[in-house]
Amino acid sequence: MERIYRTYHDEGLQAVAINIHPDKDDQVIPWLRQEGISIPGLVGADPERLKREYGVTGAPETFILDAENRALIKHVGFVPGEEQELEAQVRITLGLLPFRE
Amino acid sequence: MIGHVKLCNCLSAVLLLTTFGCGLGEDPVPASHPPDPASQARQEMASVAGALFELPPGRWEEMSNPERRQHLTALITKYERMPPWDRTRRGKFPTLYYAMATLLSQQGQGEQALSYLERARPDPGSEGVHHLIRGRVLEVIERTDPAFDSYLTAFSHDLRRDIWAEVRRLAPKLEVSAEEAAVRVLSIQQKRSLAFPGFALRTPEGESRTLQDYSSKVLLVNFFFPG
Repeated sequence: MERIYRTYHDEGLQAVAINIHPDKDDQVIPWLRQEGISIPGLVGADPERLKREYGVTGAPETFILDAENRALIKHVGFVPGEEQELEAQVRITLGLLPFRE
Repeated sequence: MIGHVKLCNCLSAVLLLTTFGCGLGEDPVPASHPPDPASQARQEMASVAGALFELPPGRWEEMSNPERRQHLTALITKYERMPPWDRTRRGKFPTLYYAMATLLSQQGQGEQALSYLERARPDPGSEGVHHLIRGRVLEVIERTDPAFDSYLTAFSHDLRRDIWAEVRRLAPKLEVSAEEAAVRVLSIQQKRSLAFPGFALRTPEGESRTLQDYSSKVLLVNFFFPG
């Protein structure tokens, strides 16, 4: 995900990482640094609200939104190779072909 | 995901067999009792479903094994002899509908294949496979436009290279550019999308942030936790 963020940031991709465990809010900065992640982190989330409004009950879960804040896809969990689908989604939302040809 | 769906179907099959095949604490059915055709058909369906689940992921719809084809042909015959109330139970086996549709389209019976496919209700998460097979069946009966639409819809659910290859293969026949096809895929996704609820959170440094602060062409929102 970090690679996708760095590759397409200049073309209009923004990203944000929301911590779902408020009791670990103080670990977000050191963890992002340790993992070499430049995606900005956010804290202060209410787990009940995450569950009620976003259907988020665990991590990782990833949404891709278009310019109108419409949630185009939601990925639950992570399967190797899934980043290709995420990248394809980012690309078509940016107005590119889904894969480099 | 597909594997999970198949597993669920398989479990459903086992549950059905358990439910209808034997009763707790009851005596065995006497040998003179006529066999229940519906129960036999269900057992057959579960058996074929089990064979399908053994195929590698992404290849189960190919049905290249002649033995499996023969098995399915027998199943179709059995299905058509079942009373309507038992046929409705087939809704629990969308995998079998897909297998039947694939088989029939390979045998040149496109319309019949399509009729099976239209009756399948895809489970959540398997919409991509559903529309991919639908596209192939529609191609067999030379309905190129709806076939192309099915491939676009399939790709809108599963952004896989092999599905995109189907889109690219058919696009020139319909004088549609790859760029236009990608735009159509995005349009399909936008039509079924939901508005993402706003949020009011803060950075680890304590600065307030809302969804509007991240307005862009594309926003990737990842939920995570450290560790």
